Amino acid sequence: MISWWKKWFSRQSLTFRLSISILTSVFICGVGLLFFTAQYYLPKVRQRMDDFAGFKLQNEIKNISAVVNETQDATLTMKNTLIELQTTEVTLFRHLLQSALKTLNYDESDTSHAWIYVFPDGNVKTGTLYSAIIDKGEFIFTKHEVDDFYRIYPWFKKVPKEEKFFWSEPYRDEEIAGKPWVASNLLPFKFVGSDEFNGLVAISVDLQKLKGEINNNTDELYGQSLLISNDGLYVSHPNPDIELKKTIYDLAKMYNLPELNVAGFKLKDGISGSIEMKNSSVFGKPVIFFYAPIPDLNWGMCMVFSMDDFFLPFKEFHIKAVGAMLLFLLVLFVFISWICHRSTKPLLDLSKIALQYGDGDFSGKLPESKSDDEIGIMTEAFHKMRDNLLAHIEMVKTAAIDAQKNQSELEIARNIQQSALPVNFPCHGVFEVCAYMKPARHVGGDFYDFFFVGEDKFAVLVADVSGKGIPAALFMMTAKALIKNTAKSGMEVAKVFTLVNNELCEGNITGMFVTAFLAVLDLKNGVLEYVNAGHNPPFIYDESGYHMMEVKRNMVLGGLDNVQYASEKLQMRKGQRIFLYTDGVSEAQNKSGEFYGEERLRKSLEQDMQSTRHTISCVQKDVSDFADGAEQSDDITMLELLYCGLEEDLLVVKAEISETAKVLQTVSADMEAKGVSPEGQSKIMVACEEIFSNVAQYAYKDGGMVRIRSTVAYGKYLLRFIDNGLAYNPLEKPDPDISSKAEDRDIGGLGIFIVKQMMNEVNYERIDEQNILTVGVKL
Amino acid sequence: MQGRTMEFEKVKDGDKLTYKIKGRLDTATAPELAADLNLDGVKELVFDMEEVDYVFSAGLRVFLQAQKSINANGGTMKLINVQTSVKEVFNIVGFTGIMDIE
Repeated sequence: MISWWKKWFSRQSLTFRLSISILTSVFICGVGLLFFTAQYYLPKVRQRMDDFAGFKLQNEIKNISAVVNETQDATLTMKNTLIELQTTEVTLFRHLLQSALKTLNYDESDTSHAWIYVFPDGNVKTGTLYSAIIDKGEFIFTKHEVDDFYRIYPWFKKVPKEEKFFWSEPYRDEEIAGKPWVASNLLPFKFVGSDEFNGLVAISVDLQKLKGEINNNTDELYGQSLLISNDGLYVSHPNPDIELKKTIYDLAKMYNLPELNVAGFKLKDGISGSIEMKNSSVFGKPVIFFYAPIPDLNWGMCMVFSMDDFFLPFKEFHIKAVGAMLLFLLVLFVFISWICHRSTKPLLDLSKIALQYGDGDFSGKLPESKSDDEIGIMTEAFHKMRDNLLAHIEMVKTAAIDAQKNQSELEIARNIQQSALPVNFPCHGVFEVCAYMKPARHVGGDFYDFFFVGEDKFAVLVADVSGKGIPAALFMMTAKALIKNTAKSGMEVAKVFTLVNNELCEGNITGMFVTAFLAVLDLKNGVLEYVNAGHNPPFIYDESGYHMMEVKRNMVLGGLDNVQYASEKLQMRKGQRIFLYTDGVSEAQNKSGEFYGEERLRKSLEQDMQSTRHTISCVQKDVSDFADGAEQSDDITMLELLYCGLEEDLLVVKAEISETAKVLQTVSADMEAKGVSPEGQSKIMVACEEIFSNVAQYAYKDGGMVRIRSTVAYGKYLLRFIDNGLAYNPLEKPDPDISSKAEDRDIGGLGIFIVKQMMNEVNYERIDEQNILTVGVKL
Repeated sequence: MQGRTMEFEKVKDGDKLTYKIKGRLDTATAPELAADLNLDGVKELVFDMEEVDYVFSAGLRVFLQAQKSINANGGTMKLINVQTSVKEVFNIVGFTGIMDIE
């Protein structure tokens, strides 16, 4: 949960996080302050309240006490006068009572009652009662005998037989009209010389008068005064159902407030104090209940304050404080948001532009750094980054253009070198040749070459220039041109190398050299003349398979001038092959550094001998598989020459249409003998007819001969037409448009087009005043 | 393969002309067929090629010429029973697009 919250929070915007952090802090501070204030002020307020309540209570008590004292004074005066006079004269009693009531000086509206009860020594039950009442300003005096005083005043049983003041519990005075509630102040007396009490004097105080002395206004804030009798009866209470009907103990039970019980007992014992109560008969809510005894009267004076209302200002303060704080937080939030927005906006702008820069778009303008703060520093850094980036990009661009230039130059060099190597392997009946070269880098130092020397000799060459790359390639081009040009003159091969060597040595300041193997095949007799200039010996194939040729090694070309090279000769038999290669083949390495080696090469050569092309591609694939992706460290070059045997004329006929049937018959038989497939035969028949009829019709003006030769080479059946007629290359004739309508079609040019379409091989050569057209199909 | 290598029979039925050719149409034999072809008033020309083993360019020229002539007459030309190897030659030179070959 916490980690989730942390995750969520960390994902919010800076503004939000900062606002929340600050607002939370401020809120906690505010609440803490309020709490502190409450902790500090609450006891003080409470103290003030106690003081206030005490003051008010004492004030009320003082007022009540005034009435009590006045009454007691009057009672005491009556008693003293009575004892002093030692008489039971009625008129005296009347006078005493009247003067006591007068002393009290009650208003006319008040109903007051004073009385004297005289009984025989110690016998309280029967006696004479002198009673005086002022009712509506009129003084009424009565005297009557009492046979059971306790019946009239039941509470009298409680009065202690002591010569001191006693205040009765409230009761209804039956002798006064309206039977008002009163409390009587009694004082027993003894006549002088008497051991027993002889009577008592009493003044009843109308409770209305007592109540009038206290503040009866119900005010929650300034408290409610309550007067409680000694027995706990509520003498004054705002609720008429309680006043003079219920005691403090009744209410303690009714409201389930045991502490009120305790307060009642304490009051009775004359102890003051205060209690907090969760409920109140006055306010119906939590209150503080102060109480104190009234001296002499032995009643209690209480003061009830509603706690809520007393603390109301404090509460209001808190509510207002919280409100103010929330308002403050809101303002703070707006302010923080504004500040954050102002601070983060440049960051957002920067990041937007940084994104554009990342995409390579430098059109976005960076804001100017206006200040020296962090944002300013960052903006400055962005400016620098942008400048550096632009400079760097410019540099990389230039470098890339240079690299591209180099690359394209290298590419051109490679093309030149590659194009210098012949790839059109001549289609000849006597031999077959195929070669392959793959430079290690873009341009290499290896090369092969083949060319006719005169009409009846064919030269093949493989060479390896020391070093690699551009220098080797340059040297190679020179060497290749030199060898070819020299060899083409038809001189003996050893002499060719001797001459080339001297040429290469001349001005060879770089000390480069080239190893080479040159072989020339005489097509007339199959004699192979060859010379080796420091090159690795080739493989030769005969009936027993491929094996390494034992050849004489001569000095490399370009190493030392005036060296005499020696050649050797070999009479090739039909089907014999010679495989020339450079050490890039045998020394090809795989990833673990192993060499390909001559033995692997020998085996690979024998894999597929269908034609020289098959053999070469088989070796090429085998070497590549062996290397298995390892980098090629040296140029790979190979060449194979196959001697097919001497080519003989199949037929020599007059160039006339009438000879067509004969030609076709002879060719058909030859194809049968050489194992050409029926499909191939059929195609050759069409081609043969077309070509022969062409030659018969157009080659000669005055008639001539056509020689027809056939051979099998490169896995094909080849048919050659040789005439001494006008030079004419039929292959140059444009092809007919085979998609046009019948009306637009030219009726000519169809024959050679059919030939071109049907044959796997079509070749024209003009050699020595002869037209030689060769066609061929796959066996 | 001595002597004549191509023969043909022709049947004319109103404006319908049918040639049944045997052998091979080559440089030597094609001109014979070309010389025999008279398409005046012919609306429907049919070559039955069932027994033709080879057709060379000389033969193709005859058929192309015939097609052109019959088109000029507003007629139709049809080659029927053409062998697969022969059809291939027609195909190579694009005649299958301009001739009705079965």
